[in-house]
Amino acid sequence: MYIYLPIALTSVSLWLVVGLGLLVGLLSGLFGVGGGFLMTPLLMMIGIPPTVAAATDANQIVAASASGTLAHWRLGNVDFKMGLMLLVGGFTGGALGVHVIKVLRATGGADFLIKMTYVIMLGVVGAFMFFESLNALKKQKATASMSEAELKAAEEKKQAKAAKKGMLSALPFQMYFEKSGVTHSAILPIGLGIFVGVLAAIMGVGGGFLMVPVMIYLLRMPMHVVVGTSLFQIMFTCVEVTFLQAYQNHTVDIVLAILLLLGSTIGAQIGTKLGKKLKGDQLKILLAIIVLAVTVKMILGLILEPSLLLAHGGGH
Amino acid sequence: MTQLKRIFRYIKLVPVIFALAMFISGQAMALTCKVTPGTIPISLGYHGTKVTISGDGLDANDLIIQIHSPPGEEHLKYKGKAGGIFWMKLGTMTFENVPGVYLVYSTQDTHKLLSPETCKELSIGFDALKKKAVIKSDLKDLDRDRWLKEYMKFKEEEHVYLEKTGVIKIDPASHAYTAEIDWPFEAPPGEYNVEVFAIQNGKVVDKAEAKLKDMRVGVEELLSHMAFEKPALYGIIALVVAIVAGFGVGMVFKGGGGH
Repeated sequence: MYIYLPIALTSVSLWLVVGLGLLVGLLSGLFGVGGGFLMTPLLMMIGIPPTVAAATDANQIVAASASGTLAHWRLGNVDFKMGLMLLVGGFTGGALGVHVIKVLRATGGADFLIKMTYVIMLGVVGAFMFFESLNALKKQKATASMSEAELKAAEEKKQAKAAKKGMLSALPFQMYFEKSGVTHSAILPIGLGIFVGVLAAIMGVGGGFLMVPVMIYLLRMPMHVVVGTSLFQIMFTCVEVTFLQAYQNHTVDIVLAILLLLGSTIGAQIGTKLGKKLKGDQLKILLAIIVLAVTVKMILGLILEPSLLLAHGGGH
Repeated sequence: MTQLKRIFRYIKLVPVIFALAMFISGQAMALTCKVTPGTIPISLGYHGTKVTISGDGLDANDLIIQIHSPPGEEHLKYKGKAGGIFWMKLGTMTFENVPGVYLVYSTQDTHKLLSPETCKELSIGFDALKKKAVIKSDLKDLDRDRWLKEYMKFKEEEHVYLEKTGVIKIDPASHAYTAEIDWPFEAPPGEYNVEVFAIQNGKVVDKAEAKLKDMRVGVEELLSHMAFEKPALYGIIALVVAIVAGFGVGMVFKGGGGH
């Protein structure tokens, strides 16, 4: 069964698009990422023009993240206070990043920067998460066989490490984030939000795959709260992007978005339930493998000669 | 004698009658072209369609049918090696005086039927298009032939450029022809020219033309109109649909526990 897309001006298999939505929604619910870094290239592979693929993807992420946010909120996994701070930073950083890209496009070399940022960020984040989770899983096994004295020594070591973050605790506007069980200066999530916002705008994605590691490793939030809070933040970012793309560029294909969200909203719910059954480190290692696979694919795309030397503008 | 004069008068009329008969028969033998359907409706379930091009009055052994949109320009990105290592989009390339859609069907390869000069003069075949196309780019030392070849390859991959033989059926007894073609869904909505050339001994001996329309109808037309004419409303609807769908499915899966 085929459906003609009024803005993409192409015909696609209904089941293929719904299936893609289901797959990416599943990842969204599992890991708290919007899936833009995965969905946009997949849509381009089935013949959707790059500009329409990126804009419509943002529209379907609104649905998947709304569905995921609701599911995580019911489970008590959304830190609204932290989410709002990251959102303020994200919006500011997004605007800054769009400006940076505008300047770079005028001077040339924007495509090079975008591709390189993509490969480096995906590679670094993926590799870091992979080895960190692998170590954590190994430690869990070792802890299970440790004596009481050894456990006490390890705990003291951990406390000494925590005391080192004195510089961050010296920052003003310290506040307690009840849901995450952490204390940080408000400057930290806003600043990190700006940083991710700038990178996300340069790379043309929602930034979930960057925000998740930032929350885990820099804000020290528990994995399950990270997922819910990330989805909450992504939902608002994509609302802004969808409206601007529809209003300024006319590139949102509502029919394609509906087909994708049919799959992604259900996938997000299944992903959330599945995520409850997996341990935090197992989730992290799975996400790391996906991120690394996308990085390898991108590197191959960069070094192997493409079959076509002409392409439409836009996209990655 | 009077009777002989009358007969002679009738005999004088014979060439006139013969010439008239020839003229009438000549008129009936003119090549015709009919496109069915003349208008292709693009509805929600559209995935391309079959189009039949037929006609009669064919007094030749070979035929070329070409369907094309009016010549225009297309802006594309060209890829190359950045720093001698990475393949990526390096700049813009504009192709001018090229049709967006160009489909050619013939009884034999066009270059076997017509000389390159005739093809160029009548704009028939890929080679003729290449000769008329203009490329503008920021690329230094532009290899025109190479990039035109790349352009044709790009358009063929998109299924909007095609050169094909074996589709046209000719019935010499009735001087009729038929071609059933697969109209690609990738062809954008618009009006297309259908041209039929009758070829005999390397020359075009007759020509017929028709129009083919490809237009959005129903929901497709409504959404397209809204996206371009009322973009704010379109954007809000897209968001409302997404949020309602997201929360709606969330409600259906309510058994998740929690608060």
